[in-house]
Amino acid sequence: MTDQPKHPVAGDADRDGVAHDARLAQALRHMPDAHMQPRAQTRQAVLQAALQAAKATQSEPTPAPMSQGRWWHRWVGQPGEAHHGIPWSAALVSVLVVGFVAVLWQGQEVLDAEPDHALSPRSAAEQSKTAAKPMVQAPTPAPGAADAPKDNAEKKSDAVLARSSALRQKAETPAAAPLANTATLPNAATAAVPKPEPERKLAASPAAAPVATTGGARADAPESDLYLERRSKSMQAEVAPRDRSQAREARSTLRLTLGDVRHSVQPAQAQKLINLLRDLPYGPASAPLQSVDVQGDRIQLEWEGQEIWVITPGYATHRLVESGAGGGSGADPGTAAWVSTITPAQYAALRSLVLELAPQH
Amino acid sequence: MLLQELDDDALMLAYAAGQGAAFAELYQRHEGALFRFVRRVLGHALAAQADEVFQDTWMKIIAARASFVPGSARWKTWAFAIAHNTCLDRLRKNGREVVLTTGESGGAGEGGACTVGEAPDTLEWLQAELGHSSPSSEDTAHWRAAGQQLMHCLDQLPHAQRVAFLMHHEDDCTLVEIAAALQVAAEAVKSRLRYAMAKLRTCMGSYLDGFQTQGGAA
Repeated sequence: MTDQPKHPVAGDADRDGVAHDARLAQALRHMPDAHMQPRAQTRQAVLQAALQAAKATQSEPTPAPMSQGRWWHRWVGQPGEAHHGIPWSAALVSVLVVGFVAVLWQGQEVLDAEPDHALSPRSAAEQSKTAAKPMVQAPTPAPGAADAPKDNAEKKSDAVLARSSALRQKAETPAAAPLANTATLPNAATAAVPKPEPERKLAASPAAAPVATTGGARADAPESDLYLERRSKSMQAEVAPRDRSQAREARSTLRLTLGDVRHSVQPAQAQKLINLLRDLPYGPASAPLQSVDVQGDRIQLEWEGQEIWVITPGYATHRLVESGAGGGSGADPGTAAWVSTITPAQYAALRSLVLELAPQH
Repeated sequence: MLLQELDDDALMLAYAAGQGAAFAELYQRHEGALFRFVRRVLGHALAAQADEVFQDTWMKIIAARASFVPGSARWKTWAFAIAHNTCLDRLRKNGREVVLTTGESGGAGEGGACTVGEAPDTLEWLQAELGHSSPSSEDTAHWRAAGQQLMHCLDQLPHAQRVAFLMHHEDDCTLVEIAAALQVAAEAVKSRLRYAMAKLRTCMGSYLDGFQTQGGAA
């Protein structure tokens, strides 16, 4: 046999470190089957199959190299080829999905901008405490960020409310500026802004703090927290472009209804009324006062789609009308209400101011 | 360049490109070695099926011609790996136990209780009868008997050790090539090989001793 390997002598280690045993190799070469060959039919069958396969290989068309095709074939694949090049259908679907999501998201707040207290009742309570502090400390003007609370949660709450205030001011036109400036939120963010003199005085007066609500003490009441939270959401919704145009049209006049008689008065005339409302537990809404309706003892004030106040002798009911802002979990929009008490003197003063709004003939 | 001057890898590439003559050259080179390997791996019990398994091996080589990549392994190692797998399939089909993990532990047949074959060596007897007792004749007779005994001893080796020994001694594959072909670690191949050689030496017994005293060297 010409293909028999030649082994070294017994005991010599080969390149692998394992010794070839020359005696065993010699015995291998003398095994009875050492010279056996496959049958001729087997050899013939193998060679015939190999030749057929070679012919089949030669008859197969050689695919043209990419360099011979047009340059864009590298990207989109050769004509008639499948699964080559860029998957355009997948790319198109991706673009459509991204566009659809962008359209849906337009004008919406990004997720990370959601205030934490909207997710957790506990953080809502902390927000309430944070918001209550500046009301008590309002007589000392806040110099700005230097007086901001050091607690991280309070900082976060302040930032959220400050941003809400900024958004609200941005949405309003200069024509409504006087009314909007006086209608500030009773929270830390607005406390950092220099307040008008009447507001400071009212905030510093003893009447501001002990105003009772149905939920108990104001600073600790969860209901007041929810009220502030929903009002903040309502203000955020106010900046939506759709509502913005409606707000511009609505704030030009103030509708006053006395019984069956309707009047249109200038919003500036309601300034005294607005100032008086600051004595009430939550203060007026940030939006311009849109309508005042007096039916007997019942006085209803509406702030441009944000809030509706129903004031009767002894009680003031606050209700948010922003869609989705009503009630706690599962409540219908606009059905949540916060009831607080007002003194007879406050009611009388309010009623007289409302009546003064009516044009004198 | 003549086909005879090409190495196995180049021949296989030429065949994959459609040259039938390259395959014929390749087949001629390795027909005998591959057939012996198949026959010995199958063992004495399945020797009758060696032709069929041998043909299956070459058919697989033909079918896989496009997947052969020179450089990763020698063609011979690649072909013997295909042959080994084909043998394994046949052994399993015939219900013969194939234990591939016994190489390190010695496996079946350990202990070297092989008996020396009792079959008379006809050539030795004939030479003795004719008075041809020259040392070369004695050696030939001796090694024929040793080859017969070795075939018997190989049948008793565990499959993994048998394959390792055959690829190492018969086909001159390195440990790395055997490991690549059998898809095991090189250390495992080394271990199998040492066990196999130890068992074969024990089994061969006086055949190897007699060679040393008579021939002195191979």
